[in-house]
Amino acid sequence: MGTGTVLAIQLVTAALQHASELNQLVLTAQAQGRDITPEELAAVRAKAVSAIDKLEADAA
Amino acid sequence: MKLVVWLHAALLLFAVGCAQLGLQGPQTQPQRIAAGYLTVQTFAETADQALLTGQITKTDAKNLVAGSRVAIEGLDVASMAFAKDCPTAAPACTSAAADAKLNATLAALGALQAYLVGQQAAHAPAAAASGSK
Repeated sequence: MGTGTVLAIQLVTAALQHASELNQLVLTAQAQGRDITPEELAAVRAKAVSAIDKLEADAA
Repeated sequence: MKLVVWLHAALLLFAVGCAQLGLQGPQTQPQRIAAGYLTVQTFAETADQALLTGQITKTDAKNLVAGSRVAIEGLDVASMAFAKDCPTAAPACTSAAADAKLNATLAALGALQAYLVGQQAAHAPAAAASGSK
């Protein structure tokens, strides 16, 4: 299997996991009669920043 | 070329909220902001994989880091605008300022994605050659 194909599979898997994560957040909030809270947004933001930090470290 | 197609397909998959898999797409502004952060996360992880497999250079990665941080800042501004205009977070409440910033940030993310795809395409032959050794 080529490098591009492996990366493509990882990319699709990551996109699906994150879409599923968002869906879970939305469903949980809806079940409680509310929208996503600022605390939940902050947690999602922290993961994004962490991924950027890792990219930055690997690029150093 | 396959990678470029898959990259577009994957990000499009996220953008439409995996409707065909039964996953709900973002509808309210907080949901759209959360989707934006998750898109940045997916993007950074993908760029990291591309870096580690030699499909983009460290310089490309540094440019993508800078762009990703700008996207985070844009989403932060959208989030603050929503909090200011909709302090009770009522489901029907929308903030025009948050919407404008969100749309601008998502457009910037699209440009960043195009940059990543372009760099991967430019380095793909070298990566393929080194991988076949």
